[in-house]
Amino acid sequence: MIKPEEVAKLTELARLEMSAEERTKIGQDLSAILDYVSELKSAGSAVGSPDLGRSAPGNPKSELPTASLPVNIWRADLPTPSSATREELLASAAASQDGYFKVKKILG
Amino acid sequence: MIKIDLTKLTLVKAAEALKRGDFNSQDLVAAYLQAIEEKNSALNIYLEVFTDEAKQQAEAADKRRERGESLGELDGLPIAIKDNMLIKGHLVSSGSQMLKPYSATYDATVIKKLREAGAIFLGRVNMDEFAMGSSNETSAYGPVKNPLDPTRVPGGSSGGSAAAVAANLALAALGSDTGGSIRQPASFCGLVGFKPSYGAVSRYGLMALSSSLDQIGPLTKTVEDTKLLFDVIKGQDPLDSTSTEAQNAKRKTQNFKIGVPWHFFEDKLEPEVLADFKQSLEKLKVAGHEVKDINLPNVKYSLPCYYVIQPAEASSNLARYDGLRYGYRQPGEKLLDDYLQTRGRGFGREVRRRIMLGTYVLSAGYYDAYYGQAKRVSKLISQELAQALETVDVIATPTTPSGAFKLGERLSDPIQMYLADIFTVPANIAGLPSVSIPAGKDKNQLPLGFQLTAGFGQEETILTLGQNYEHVISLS
Repeated sequence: MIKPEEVAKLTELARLEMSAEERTKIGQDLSAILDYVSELKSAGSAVGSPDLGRSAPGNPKSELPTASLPVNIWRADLPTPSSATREELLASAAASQDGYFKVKKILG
Repeated sequence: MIKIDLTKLTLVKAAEALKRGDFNSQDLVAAYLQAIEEKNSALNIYLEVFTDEAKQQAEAADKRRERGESLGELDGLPIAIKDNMLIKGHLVSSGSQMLKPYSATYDATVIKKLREAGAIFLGRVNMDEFAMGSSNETSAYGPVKNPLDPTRVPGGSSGGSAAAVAANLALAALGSDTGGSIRQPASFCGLVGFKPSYGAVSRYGLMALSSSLDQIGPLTKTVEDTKLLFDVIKGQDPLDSTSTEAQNAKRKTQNFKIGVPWHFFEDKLEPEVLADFKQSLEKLKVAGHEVKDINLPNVKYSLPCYYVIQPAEASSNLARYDGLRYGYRQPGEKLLDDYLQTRGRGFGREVRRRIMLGTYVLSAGYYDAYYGQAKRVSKLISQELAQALETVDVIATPTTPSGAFKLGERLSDPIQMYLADIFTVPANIAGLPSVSIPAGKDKNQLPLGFQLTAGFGQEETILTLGQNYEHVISLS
């Protein structure tokens, strides 16, 4: 189900170095798991399922009874005191300089 | 040293003993430190014991008690903390090499609350790596053994937390539950394991696995102890914008309506597990509660839903581990090599598998078919459960399909391992409070759990019925 090129691409995206052997094994595992989760396609089709307007995400019918479920909240856009000092946070850095994390160059 | 029988203690009993003067906190901590020294290496529970700090905390607690300035019920009581919660100044590992070494730069909110209540931290306990696992076998520090049978797993991912309490190496423990990681190990070790409603306990300072599913909760010997700990750690926290004040509209104390979705689990259980579950229900009926069949046609999609959402969110949350700001690093030639090598070698196999899976289901072209669909299905499941919970007060199922399995038994087939969570994940998907309470025994004489789930914010409902169930079971 999942092709070797896709596995290789995933290791790049996920930034995970992997031996060829492991890539093969993980490809098999992922195929099995993806097979298992593809059951999700049939959800909502059984008799007695709540109506969700599945074909259109964002459809108002897919909103849940608000009384019984948590609602998204936002905090005020105000600064809060830091839990740690700059020194404390830099203490574990691989490299730091002048109060900054120092990293290898990203471009070029 | 005063001889204390740790097997007879609970948080509540220990608090009473401290008040009576049977022993003091220093005696208690000394007893636990001794027990840990004797038993820990065989069971591999504690990754680090905070010997000096625990003694200091005990001394401070005793002085407060002498002055009549006790901080409350938890003051002077020793507990264990799952090693994915930050305790300022202490190493913390999330069961991984990836954070070797990393010292917490702040206290998690739950830790801060426990400190203010006078609780003593005995140490940090082992867990599945980055909380990914159902057996505590994925830890980079070796598996934890089930104290009731060391050839078997304690469950996971809070395996160390469960084993610590079951082995009488702590009075209680904190764990975290994303798909059952508190309730399943509690069930395997004969304890009460409680996952609060999503948002009831602040996640600030908990290393995130799956941000829409994670919750912190207690593992204890009794429901009374769980209530005590929960009351201290719960509450809205400005540092966690997903946290809310628990709303509790219902105040029922007896004659609960218990809904059972037989179709969901009847054919998935070992025969003695089904028999034990039926017996639990009979006892509850005798105690005056009503048991009703309920139909939940989509709840079976909870596990596939979970194994899309959780890896997806984990792949995002674990992107921060790159060795630049903290932790393990394997520098390469260029920056990209730093990332590839650090992460490729710092993360264990299960973590790498789930990050890959998460990356796949979130990638362009697959995002809507997998992650989008899983989010839609979770809404469906949440709605279905909410509707059912309008007709009954709680939903009851066995916590797990079986008792504790043998170490190594399920390592080769990931899906077999994942199926251990089949009854626990719906509560995470829907954000509902859920508790596992010790029930009978399986065919190997190992503990089984009885699980109750209630509506959002209805912690009190399941804990009240839970206490009644505890009482009813103890009578037989």
